[in-house]
Amino acid sequence: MAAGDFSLKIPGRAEYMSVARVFIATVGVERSQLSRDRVDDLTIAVSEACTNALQAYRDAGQRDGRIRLLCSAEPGRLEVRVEDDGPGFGQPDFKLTSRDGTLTASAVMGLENGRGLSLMFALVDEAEVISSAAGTTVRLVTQR
Amino acid sequence: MDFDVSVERHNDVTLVAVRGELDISTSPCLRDKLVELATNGDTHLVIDLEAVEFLDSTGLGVLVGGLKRVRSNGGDLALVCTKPRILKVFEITALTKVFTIFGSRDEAISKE
Repeated sequence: MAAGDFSLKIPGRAEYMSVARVFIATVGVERSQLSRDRVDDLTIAVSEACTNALQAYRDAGQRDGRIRLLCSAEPGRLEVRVEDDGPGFGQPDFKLTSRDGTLTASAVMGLENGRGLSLMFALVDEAEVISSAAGTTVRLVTQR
Repeated sequence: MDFDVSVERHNDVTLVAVRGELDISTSPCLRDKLVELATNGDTHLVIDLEAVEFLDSTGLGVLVGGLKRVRSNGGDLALVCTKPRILKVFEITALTKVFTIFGSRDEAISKE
């Protein structure tokens, strides 16, 4: 078992969400030495991030948007970045992070996709959403 | 990816069995079925999630929408679910307080 960086680019369409999940679950199980439960949690979080990206493309009427997944695995740690070029959350310089205390339940639940964001933040050890009109990057980390 | 929604009637209770991954790709299929049942006057629903392999916030949204729909018509919607991975999603989002979740199909049908 070796560490490594892996990437996948998929169309921002609903049919491809399961492809993203298989990618993360496979790299996680094969490369990270994390338990299956932890990898499953991260897989749900990644799926939520991809679904948000897809929704942003849909809202903007962009049918050919792409979602990039960058997965970095090392023993006991898995980091995934989910990037899109959609219009973001409709707020300039939108940022949420689970480490500096800016994430509160009311802030998240006030958003239209609050349930998905709260799931995403609850299932991983570190989560960060950075969004602008040029796109969104979600960084998710699970470790032992 | 296999996804399937099937419906059985047990006296006044309508059992909806879902199989496969419930995400943004498949949840419209379940939503359409729940809307169809509500239109037909089925107001006491049990949704069996035992064969669901994956559930995310999109699927949760469809279940919450279904619950609101039947309650507005004086009915109710209960779930059957014992899988820890699926239950965890309800727990994190505090929806265990919103849905009645049974451990078996028979129990849900007899109490609904």
